[in-house]
Amino acid sequence: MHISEGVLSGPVLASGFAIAAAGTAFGFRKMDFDRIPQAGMLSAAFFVASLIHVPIGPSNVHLILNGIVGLLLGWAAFPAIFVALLLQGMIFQFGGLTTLGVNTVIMALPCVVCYHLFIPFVRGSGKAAMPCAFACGFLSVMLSALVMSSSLIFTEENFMEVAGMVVVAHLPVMVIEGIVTAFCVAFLKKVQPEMISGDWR
Amino acid sequence: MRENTQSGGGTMFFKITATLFIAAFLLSGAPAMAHKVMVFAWAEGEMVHTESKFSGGKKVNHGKISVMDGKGEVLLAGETDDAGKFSFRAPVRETLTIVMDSGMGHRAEWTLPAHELAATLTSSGIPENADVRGNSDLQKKNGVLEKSEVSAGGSLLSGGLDVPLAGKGEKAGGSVLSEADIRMIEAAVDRALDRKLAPLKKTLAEEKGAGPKVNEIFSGIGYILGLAGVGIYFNNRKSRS
Repeated sequence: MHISEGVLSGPVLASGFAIAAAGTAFGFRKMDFDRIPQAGMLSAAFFVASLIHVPIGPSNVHLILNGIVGLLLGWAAFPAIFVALLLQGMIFQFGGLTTLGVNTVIMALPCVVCYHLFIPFVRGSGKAAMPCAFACGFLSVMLSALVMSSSLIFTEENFMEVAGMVVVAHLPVMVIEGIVTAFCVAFLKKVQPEMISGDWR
Repeated sequence: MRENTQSGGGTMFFKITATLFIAAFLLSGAPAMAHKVMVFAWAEGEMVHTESKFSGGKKVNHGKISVMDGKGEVLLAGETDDAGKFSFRAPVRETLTIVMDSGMGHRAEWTLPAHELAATLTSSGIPENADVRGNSDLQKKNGVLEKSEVSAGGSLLSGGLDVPLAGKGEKAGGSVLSEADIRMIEAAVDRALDRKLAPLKKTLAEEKGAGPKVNEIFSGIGYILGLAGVGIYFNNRKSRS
């Protein structure tokens, strides 16, 4: 879901950078030093996830993993994803450096939104934890698709058409990510619940 | 017993990342081309073959191709087929920019230098040696072209070459190689070379666009973990002082 260079217009790129800068700055403040290794690991996981292609369907999509990144990091997802995208841009030339801001917003904003929507349920011990983890993974990819489509509004003709195409193309990814997020949450709850509850004391 | 170091490690991390960002801009001389989708082009004589694919290897189906000249004017446009290929006849012997747009924000470019295109194309787009391919219509239309068959007297101008013909009345099969023979041999050699070199050119083009290598992946992960480590280190120093 990286947008390539030369597709978006200047104002869209600039506003992408503005939103990404705000989110990243806020994320840095919220990230306490105990979480730095965790943020680093998740950033590395996100970095590698884009290389995993999902060959289902006509177009080329890849895993994003922003469900689990959002659940575990919250606002710190912004700097983690920003760093990973920066390195992807520099080392693999995935996406571009001018589109770094927009791509960060596309991937990280859904993380934060889904974190705030689902974390109360995932942290609780009720039966809702697993389905909510699945929903978090599913929804974060869908929101990424919608943010991406809206950033393409000013270049493509029809938002509904582009959005529909992108969402449909990513449906397999949404399902896979929902499952992956649910399994991760289940595993972590048993093995290291502090990662999910965020309580490091 | 934990102090409130919420912003401590964060600001150091931020400074390091900001430096990295600035360094990236300064060091990356050329704009970072998007490799999520790639287009390759290579010339075979007057034909230009293009192939478009995603970085995972999947071919781009119905990608929009536009071919532009040095001034950015679109010379021709088309669509890739199911195998991601699209071929066209080069309209001019100039450096061509081939742009492929596969939708959903994915776009790729390839610049084909003029010298890769066949020498038989001129920059005005009229093939000089048209009769070798049997384009006799072109000869009749364009008064500049002369038939390269042996004709009574005269000389042929071709790419600056000004060679008198073998002689009046002597046919191409005579003891002296006529201008026509030389031309035909050159053209045949050109075509044979193009055929043989095309797979090489294609491989070279694909090498340029190969996806991430394992060492690159490891270096990226290492970078991230290194940044995290540096952040923790500076944070520890701060909390200790």
